[in-house]
Amino acid sequence: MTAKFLNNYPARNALRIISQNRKFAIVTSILYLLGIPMIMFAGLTEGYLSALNAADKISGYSFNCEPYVFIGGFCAAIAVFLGFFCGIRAFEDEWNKTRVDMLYSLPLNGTQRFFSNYAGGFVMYAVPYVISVVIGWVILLIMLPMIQKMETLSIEYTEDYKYFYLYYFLGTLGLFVLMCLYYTISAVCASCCGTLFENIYTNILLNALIPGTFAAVLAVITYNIDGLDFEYSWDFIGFMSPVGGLIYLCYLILDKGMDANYISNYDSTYCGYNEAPETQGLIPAYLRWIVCILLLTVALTVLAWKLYQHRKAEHVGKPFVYSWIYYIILTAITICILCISAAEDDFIIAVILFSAIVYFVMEVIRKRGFKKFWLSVVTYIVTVAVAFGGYILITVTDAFGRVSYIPALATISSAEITFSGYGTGRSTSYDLTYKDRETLQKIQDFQKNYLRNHDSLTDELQKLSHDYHSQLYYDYNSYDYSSSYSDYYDNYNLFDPTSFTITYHTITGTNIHRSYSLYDDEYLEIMQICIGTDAFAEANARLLKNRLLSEIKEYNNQTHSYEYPANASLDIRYFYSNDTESTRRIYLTDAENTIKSLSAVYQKDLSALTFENYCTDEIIGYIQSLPVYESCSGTVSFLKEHGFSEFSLTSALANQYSNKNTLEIRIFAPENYRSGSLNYPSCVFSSEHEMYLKENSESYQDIAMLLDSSVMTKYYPELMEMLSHARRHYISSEPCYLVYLNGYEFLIPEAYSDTVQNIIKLGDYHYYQLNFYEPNYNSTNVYF
Amino acid sequence: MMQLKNTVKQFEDFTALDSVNLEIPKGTAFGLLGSNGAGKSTILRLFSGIYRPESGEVLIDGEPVYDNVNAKQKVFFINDETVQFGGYTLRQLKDFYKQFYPEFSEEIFERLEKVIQLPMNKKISTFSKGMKRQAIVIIGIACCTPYLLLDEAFDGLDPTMRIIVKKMLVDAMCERELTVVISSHNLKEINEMCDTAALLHHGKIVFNRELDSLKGEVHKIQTAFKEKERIFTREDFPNLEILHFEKTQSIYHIIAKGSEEQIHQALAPFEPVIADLIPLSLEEIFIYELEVLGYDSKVFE
Repeated sequence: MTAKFLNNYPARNALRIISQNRKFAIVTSILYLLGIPMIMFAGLTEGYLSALNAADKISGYSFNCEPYVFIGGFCAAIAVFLGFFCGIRAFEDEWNKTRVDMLYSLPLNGTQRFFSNYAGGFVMYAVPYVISVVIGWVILLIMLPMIQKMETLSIEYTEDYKYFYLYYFLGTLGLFVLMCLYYTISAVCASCCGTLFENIYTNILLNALIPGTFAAVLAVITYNIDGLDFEYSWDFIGFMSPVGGLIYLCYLILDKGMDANYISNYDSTYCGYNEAPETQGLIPAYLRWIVCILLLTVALTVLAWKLYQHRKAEHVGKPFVYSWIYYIILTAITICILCISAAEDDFIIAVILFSAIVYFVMEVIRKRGFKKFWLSVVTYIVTVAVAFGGYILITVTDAFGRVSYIPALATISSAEITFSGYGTGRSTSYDLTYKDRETLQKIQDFQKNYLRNHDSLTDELQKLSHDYHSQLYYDYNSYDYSSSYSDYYDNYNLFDPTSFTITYHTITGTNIHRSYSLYDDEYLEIMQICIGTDAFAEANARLLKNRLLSEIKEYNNQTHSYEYPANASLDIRYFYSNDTESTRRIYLTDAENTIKSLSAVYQKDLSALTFENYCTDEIIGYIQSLPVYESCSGTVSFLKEHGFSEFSLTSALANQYSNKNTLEIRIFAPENYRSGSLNYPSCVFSSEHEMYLKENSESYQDIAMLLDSSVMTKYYPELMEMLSHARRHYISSEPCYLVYLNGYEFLIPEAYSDTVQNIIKLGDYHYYQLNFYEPNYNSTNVYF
Repeated sequence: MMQLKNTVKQFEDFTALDSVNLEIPKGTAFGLLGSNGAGKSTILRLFSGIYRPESGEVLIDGEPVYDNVNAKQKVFFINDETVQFGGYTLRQLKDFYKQFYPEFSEEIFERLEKVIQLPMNKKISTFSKGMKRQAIVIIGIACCTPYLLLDEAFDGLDPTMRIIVKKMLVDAMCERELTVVISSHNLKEINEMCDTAALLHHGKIVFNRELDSLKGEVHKIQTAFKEKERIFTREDFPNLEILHFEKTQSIYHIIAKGSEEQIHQALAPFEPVIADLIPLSLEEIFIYELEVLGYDSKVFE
């Protein structure tokens, strides 16, 4: 039997297919050969000529590779797209009655016939691609070393080319595997359809619908169910379809590969610099992805083969040999259309009507008329009922309990938490990975607590909370002083809870993602877990190093040098100041090593930082938006050694006073801004205290004073006394006063509330002035 | 030997073959006759392994043929269409089939090709219908398979070419015990080519006999009886299997099965004045056999 199977008849049949389609194969080959080799050659030529230009070996000559890359990309895209057509050409005898006779009467069994047809089409599709990739390799291996030898190459290009071989290999291999999957889907279609027309449209629809349906359904689910993240969908979309897979491949290479090597993502702690892609998780993620795609391809090949074996010669001309594939497509289309209604309730009738039209048109096409049309009506009603029923079931059961599912601690190998920091470095996003059992347990406890608290919030309260937040956001931004504030902060985030994601990596290699929105106190719970951990300290220190190195690298790019400068200057940015010169510049010699030393000291300080320090320490300044706390003694000493001098608010006020500038002060009593148990200038909301805020929303009052020079003179000692206690960063559960000084927020710790009350008493007379007097912001405004 | 054993073949709710039993011995020239849709082509497709039976067995030399490379290698099927592999030249088509049939004889091919004189390097799609038919027939013969199945084999051939093709087939049968199964509506050709034939109607075999014995068993009788006033009916001849019974004035035209002696014995009691027995052509047998089964051209009258 084996000998029979291994005879060369299948190869002869495969050759017949190639021979019969040789014109088509020639066209595909030309497209491929115009694709990758042209992109490679044009891109590298531009790089080489740029390097020559930079070295002044040639001048006045420029080469723009973009048109050629576009043409090459277009040709390659067309050639890859033609994969489904290769499948159709390979199996075309199956839907031609006379050819079926001749094909089936040949001394081949079903298995040999299937695999010889499959191989014939695949050779037409893949061999030209492989040849084009090999030519690409030849171009790469010849030209890239020439470019790399150019000493004048800028750092940007150096980094570009460093991993080019790897990216080219991963990209072309990934595309090849996706092509296999794409072609195999066409083989499944060929096994399932009995006519050319049905085959073409099933191919197109399947390729669009696999990722499309997953995306639509998961978007609806994640949009409506708290906790599930659309990011989760990539496990379906990226791993189960050629189109989704292509997007995922691009994401892997660009995001985890190329971009990870630059500081393009300033706000992320996971960005690396000059680090091998292996450390970015590219290789493991890529391997996992490619194995999944290969397994899926093998599974689909087996499916296509089995379906082909059960297919009969007399099925030729029948639109769908297996009607289930038609109903899968029809149901998927209907569901995709119905998903539109999830975005807007008002659309529901129109959407149902539209889906009905599409459904019945497809039924008429399949049945070639109106035969048993009532049956179509019944199946449509069932489909719509099942779609809505499924949606209701998923929402009612919280996606069958997935929302509250927390994997057992023993099954977790690591947990990755991602969240945006605010207050202390709002623009920093943290991506921290923990493996130790203790921290994993804390993360799980936090998640359980979060789920319990949010589950107890009724829908009505959540709506009230949402409405209230919207109103408060409007109120807040209607104040003039917010304009200067918004120069630095993103107002859109100001009243939004921060997003938080947990990804559990299990020991079996699966990932479990959850996304939540954190209010102030929940955010602090997370910070309580992270502060003092090695992961937190290391991530911040790495970010500090990356940002500083990036800054001096960008400067040097202008001179086309890829060496770090020996000397450089860095800005230490103060968060508060009342003069326009809000930064202190320090000068470094041996910049690269100094930055690395600073990063090491900063990491050590953050490792020693306690949660109490984090809450009550004043921030003495920011380096690249990263806070330096009072207790970061090593960092402070390091900065002082390099010429940094501390800054105090009272001295700034004294300076203001000596310049006779007008000063605006607003004082908010605790009950007017208090966010439940926390007093935190930048964070006004708390999940547990929505009702409290609601009740007090009417009393959004403040005490305001506009102090001209005469008033400042009069109350100078009292003001100095109050402001000597003012803190830009202070987190406490005790009520305390909030002071706006020329538009910037400060907290007066509860222990010094009496100093504020004294000012309020003094300021009663001036309260109404504010309503009639526009402060001179030109002279008092502060720029950061 | 080719065998169908209780073979059933259905196309959705249509039964093309209903528990058919058929044996075609090696070296036979077998004709398949039947009304349109009777199941002739279905039998050929079953024997060539194109169709899978719903139940029963289809055997070539004792082996099931469906999905069996060994059995399929013994069969060459020429269907009633001529559009397959149009992109090939005759030489390419010959080379293609040569790869699949190890017994392919270049010598036979060249000999036949010389007789027919088809262009070797022109694409088959440019051939006329008759030329395409000639091409596939000479390839089929040159493949030297033990069994050659021809569906409407002589369609499109001019009279001269029909004779040539028939001669080719007869030569092949003489040279190497070739079994030829021919399905055709042209009864004259079946009559000329085949030694055995089966008549199919509505998926069942009406008869399966050697043609010579078949012709000797069915007679057309022209007779008149002494009792002119009496009107005779079929029922008056219970010992005869009558396929057709008709009276024109005083002459009775009867088609009946049986030997000459049996017929004379059945007529004798009624004292026939004349009783002429005329042998039937295959076409007449076809018509009268099917008429008995209700397949009658008179329904149109």
